[in-house]
Amino acid sequence: MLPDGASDPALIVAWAALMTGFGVKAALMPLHGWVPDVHPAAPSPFSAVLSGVMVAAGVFAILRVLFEIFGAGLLQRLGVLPWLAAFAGFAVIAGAMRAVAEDDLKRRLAYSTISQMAYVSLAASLASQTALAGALVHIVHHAFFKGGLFLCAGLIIATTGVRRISRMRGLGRRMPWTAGTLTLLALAMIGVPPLSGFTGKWVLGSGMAQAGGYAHLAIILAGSLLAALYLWPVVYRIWQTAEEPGPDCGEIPDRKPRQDNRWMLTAVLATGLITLLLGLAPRLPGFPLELAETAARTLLGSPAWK
Amino acid sequence: MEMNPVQAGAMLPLLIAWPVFAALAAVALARFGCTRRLFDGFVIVAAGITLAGVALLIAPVLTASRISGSVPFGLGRAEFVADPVGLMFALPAALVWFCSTLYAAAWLRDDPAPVRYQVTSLVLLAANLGVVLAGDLMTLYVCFEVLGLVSLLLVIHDGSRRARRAGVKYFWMSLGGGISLLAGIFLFQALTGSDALETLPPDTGNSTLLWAAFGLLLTGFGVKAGMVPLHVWLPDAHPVAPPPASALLSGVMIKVGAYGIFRCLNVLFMSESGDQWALTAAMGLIVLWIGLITMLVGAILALGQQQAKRLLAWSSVSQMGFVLAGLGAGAYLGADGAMASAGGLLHIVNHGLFKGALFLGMGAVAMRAGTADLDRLGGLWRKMPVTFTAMLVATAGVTGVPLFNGFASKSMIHHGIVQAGEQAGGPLALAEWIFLAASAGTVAYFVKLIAYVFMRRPEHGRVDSVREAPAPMLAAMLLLAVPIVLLGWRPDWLLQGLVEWPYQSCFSAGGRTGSCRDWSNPVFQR
Repeated sequence: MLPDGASDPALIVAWAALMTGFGVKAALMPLHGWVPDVHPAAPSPFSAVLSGVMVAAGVFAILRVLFEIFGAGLLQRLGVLPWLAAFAGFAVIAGAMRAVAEDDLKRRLAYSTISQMAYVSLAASLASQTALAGALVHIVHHAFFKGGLFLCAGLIIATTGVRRISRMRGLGRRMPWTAGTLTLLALAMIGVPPLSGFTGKWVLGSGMAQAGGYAHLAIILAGSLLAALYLWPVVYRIWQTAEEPGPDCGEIPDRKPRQDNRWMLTAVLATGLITLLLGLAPRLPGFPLELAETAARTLLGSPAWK
Repeated sequence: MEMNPVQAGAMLPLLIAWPVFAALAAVALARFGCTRRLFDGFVIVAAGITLAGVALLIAPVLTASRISGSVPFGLGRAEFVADPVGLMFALPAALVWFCSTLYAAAWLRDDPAPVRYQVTSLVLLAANLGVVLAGDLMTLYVCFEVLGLVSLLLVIHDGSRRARRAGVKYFWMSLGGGISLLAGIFLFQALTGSDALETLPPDTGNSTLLWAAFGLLLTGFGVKAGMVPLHVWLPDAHPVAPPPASALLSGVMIKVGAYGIFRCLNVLFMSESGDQWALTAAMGLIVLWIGLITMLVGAILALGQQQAKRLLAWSSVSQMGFVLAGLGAGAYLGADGAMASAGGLLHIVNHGLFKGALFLGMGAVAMRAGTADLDRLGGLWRKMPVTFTAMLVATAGVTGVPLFNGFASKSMIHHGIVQAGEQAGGPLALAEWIFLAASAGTVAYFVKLIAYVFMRRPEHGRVDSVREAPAPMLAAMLLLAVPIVLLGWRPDWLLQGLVEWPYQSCFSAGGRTGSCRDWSNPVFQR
């Protein structure tokens, strides 16, 4: 905890420095520059971990700094929360808009991570318990569906060598289970009920509305719409049939025998099933929602320097 | 079989879950190889059981006036409530679904993906019932979104380029509407502190927030209902789907939008104390105007169509305008608005029946004659007499011919609009003229439809090989035509039993005295 007697300017500088440091890891714009290059470059299973877990670690650090070192009362007194909201809000929109423009699937998913993780910082800037619980549960659910999406991308690349979305026509016919799981995970990210993304979105949104953060709510919903904008074309493309003109990945021969991909497919299907389960029954004891609500209660109730 | 309210309450979640289980069972049946007949029989029976289940709810709802049941699901519990209004939406939905499933069994005979169609249809039945029987805003939203997005599969079913384009437009508008609805729900939740479909607590301040919530909810429900200017997806999506799906889309699914708007006007934004109608009177006026514009735009655009199914789709837009005008006038007139609201609700039931029959009939014509283009049809009254009869009955219903069901609902809406026009004055004095123009337009374009398709002399040899539709299709059409006639003779069966209660159940404690009986008795009592 902070010692007594620290002056306000010193606190603000300290806060900004900590945010910057952890913000690089958390992919908070404008510190996000490494993400779109690194996440796609890594082997796909590790991209899944990078996007799902390591960026989350940065966000966790931000939350600890905000609520356990500084405390909500002090932050409000210092007046720094609107700045965090501004940067996070910008990241949600700009990250998603850049994602729309990408043709490489993994780069698109990387920009999507920037956008989705900024939801958490945006919710934190409101210092509201429900919104924070929603953000925390969103981190967990996001790990599963973003991780799953990267695993799907990896499987597609391993089987067909195709990285670009514009070349993925006919994938639905070629790899139906992968394409089906990809569709499911994409719908989860958009926030379609009854999948896991909806749970996070609902708790987050109702928390923001109750805390009076209407601009925050608008940004979250815009982020949801933009998520559809960058995910729907992927879903549409993979289920397109041969009558449409354009490159088709149906005729590309398998790069490896199908049996070698069995474990990959199992992992992909597992993430799909988990996403479905977390959406249908999030209130089961021990599931992320319960943990997130406890965590939010702890973080915002924690004694901090006033 | 008599059920007490507790048993009925337990049955509610089962009723919603049953079509989903049936859908999964149907997938399993198809996967493990079964005959076509068995599959068709199974899905038809599944839809029939759902219809029977909804019908069984009538008696308990009439005695208890409100039945609720819930089941753990998602973020808490999925709450379901059956009150007379919800039942009034659920019953025609289940009936039209049953007829559509029966019809589809014959229609899909040569289709490459019959399993996908019937399974999707069953899931949508569950979602539709889930919306109108929802007990809180979250359940309503979940079912609403599932309904909107899964129905995409029916729109793009035939896989043609036109279908895909219509499907894409439908997807984006549904998504946009869903987000707007979600925002409205969040704002409303922030105001009331809870999720329940109940009126605002007294002294809820902040009218900006209230109006913002209303605007967002209206937009979200309005996209679904096909309300101008959010209707643009409808004339593309409805014609392009297979005819039994068009019957579902036009006859049932757009009604959930009207259901939501009704709940907004008559439940959510009413206040518990003081002047109950303070807010909803102004909101009702807005909905009334939107309804008037919609009915006119729909009618005008239907007149110019040469594709029969597009004509019927624009007609749906127009008829939803009638419904919205009725609901809006009812809310605007407040305590005097019972007749208009009842007319709007009745028109929803009626429209489901006659638009369902019309789409099924046109589908049969298209199947037998090979086209739905009005320029290339004619003289089919001899070749397809039963289809002709069913469509003629449906046309009499929609144009408001006395002794058919549309007459009662349109008259009630008309009275409401006239009264609202007199009360408000100003530009609303035009309301009655708009109504008359739209009604005249309805007659005109339906005369056009019947004349072009059935009556006029066809080109030489064009329809020689046309024969009547197969028996399941005819049965489905007639099953919808019969209530059109029955409700025309005895509209009070629906009105007295079901409509009187909403005005006692929709108002919370301390609500208005008096009821629909005051006006319905002299008009409908024999």
